[in-house]
Amino acid sequence: MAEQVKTLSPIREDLRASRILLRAGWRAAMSYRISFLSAILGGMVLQGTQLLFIGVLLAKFNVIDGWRLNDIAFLFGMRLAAHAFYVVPFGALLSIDQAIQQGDVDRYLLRPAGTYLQVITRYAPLMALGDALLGFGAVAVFAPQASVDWTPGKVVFLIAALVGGGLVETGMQTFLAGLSFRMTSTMSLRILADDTITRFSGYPLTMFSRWGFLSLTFIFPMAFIAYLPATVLLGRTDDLPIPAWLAYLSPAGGPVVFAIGLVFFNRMIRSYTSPGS
Amino acid sequence: MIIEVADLTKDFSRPDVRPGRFAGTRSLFTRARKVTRAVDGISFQIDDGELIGFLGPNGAGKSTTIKMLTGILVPTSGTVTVAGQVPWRDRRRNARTIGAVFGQRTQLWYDLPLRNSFEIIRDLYSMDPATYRTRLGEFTELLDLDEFIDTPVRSLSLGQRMRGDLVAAMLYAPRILYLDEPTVGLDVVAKGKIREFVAEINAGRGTTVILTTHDMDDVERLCRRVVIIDHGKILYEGDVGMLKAQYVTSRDVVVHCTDFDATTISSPFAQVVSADTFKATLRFDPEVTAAPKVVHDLTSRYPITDLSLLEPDLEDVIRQLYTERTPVPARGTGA
Repeated sequence: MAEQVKTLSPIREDLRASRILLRAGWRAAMSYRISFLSAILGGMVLQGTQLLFIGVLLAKFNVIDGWRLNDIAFLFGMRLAAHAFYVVPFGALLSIDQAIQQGDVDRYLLRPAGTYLQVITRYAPLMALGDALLGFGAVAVFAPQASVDWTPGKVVFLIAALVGGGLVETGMQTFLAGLSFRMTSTMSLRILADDTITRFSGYPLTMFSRWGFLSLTFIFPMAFIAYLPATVLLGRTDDLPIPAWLAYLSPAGGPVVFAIGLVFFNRMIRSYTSPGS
Repeated sequence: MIIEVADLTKDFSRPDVRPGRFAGTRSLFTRARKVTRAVDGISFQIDDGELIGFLGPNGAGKSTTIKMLTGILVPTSGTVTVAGQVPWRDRRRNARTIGAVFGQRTQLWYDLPLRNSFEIIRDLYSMDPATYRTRLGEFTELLDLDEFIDTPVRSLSLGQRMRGDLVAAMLYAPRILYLDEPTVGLDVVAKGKIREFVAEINAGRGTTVILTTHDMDDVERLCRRVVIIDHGKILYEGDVGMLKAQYVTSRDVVVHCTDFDATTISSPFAQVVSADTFKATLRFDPEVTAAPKVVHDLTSRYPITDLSLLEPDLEDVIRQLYTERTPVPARGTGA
């Protein structure tokens, strides 16, 4: 009775599977209507407090590391929007420890779809919609007020930078999530990374020392999320202690960091021990 | 052979922390590791279309073995081939060849109605709609899914959920089905339904079934061959009947009477083990005396109203096997 199996390439298979699994995730999330709406609102409020904090900070100091209010607000908007590109499609990564501890990964390994794909579609991260509304809203409001002469080229660069920034954050979180297969729990590490990104990636990172900046560029590559591309758009690449071309190429950092994170994650699956074995 | 396992071993390692003061804190810094061997160099083969019982006490290494066969765990050493593939390496292709039901955990989408889970599986396994409809129709009838197919999985009873899980595992017609404790916690009616279904997909559709269970009724009703594992090693591999024959050195015959006192009964071929006025139980060695000879002797000498020959109890055999924990040389249909 076994039938001939249609074989697709793993990428096409994953694209198909992601459509199917995403639909399932959202359908499940919407079966709890009140939670659906309150989570979206919660996401907006949570990130909104950060925006409010910037307002307070700038009302007091007016300038941070030579950056004026309108440009800081734009940088922060970029950070929020880039974060949305991580948290809307990949937000369920947050629950990797649970997936491992409860043995849900067993189920993922039994299905003909990528394990990573199934982890990120295990539920619809509703709060992320609030993040996205706020992030894209902030970019729409602050971009016209920033010291940028907008051209179609710069708009394309901005969009590439936001997607790339999202992928940098995703790659870093994916890498740490991969460690969970060996360590069972990396929640505190991942919260630390998330918190550091939330607190600092929306500021001019040269406000840290030269070595601080270099480590935030090459070791914990948070500078790629918003700061480096913002210096390009704002014409401030001279501030950087690194070659300007690196800032121009910063949107490409996203796919690179993401690829490293994903390869590591997939390699670590072999260390999965499955509860109850 | 659809499944071939050779010298399969799985070790788990964890920090070795000795009990005492600050054990929790020390566990964060210790570099010493404690290695536990869950599966210890086992080898066996399973034929296409077989229905095999995979038995063993808790912690014997059954689940670990099944997880290596399904591709969930990567073996420490040894080889596993399932339908020509190495499960963990060819994971996706293997996933299309196998179905799995783990009694303790559902494979279904918890918040969605059961029907939606089936539709997601239809799409994930690229089933054509007509085959899906036909097969779902057949399974719905076999397992009486009609009443609850539109209920969210989270609201199903254990028996209903298990039936849903079985259908989900068989919808895309995998060649091999792994069942890990499929009847645990179920009432007799639900158990019966599930056994019927398993028998049907094995006999009627040729699916190879690997059944892990603690329920000896499952084994007696479904399996011809068993693999018994303990402490990661195989204790026995072979025919269920042969296992009983090897282990059961005596059989019991129970006689009932109304016209005479059963305590007076005796036989040159059997020993009385218990007796009261109306009933006596006698034990004999089937290797020395065949059962018909004992029965004939009793019925020809006493006005017996009823007589029954007790089947050897598999549960007793398994219990004895676990207690002695000595591997039995394979006999019967074992490979």
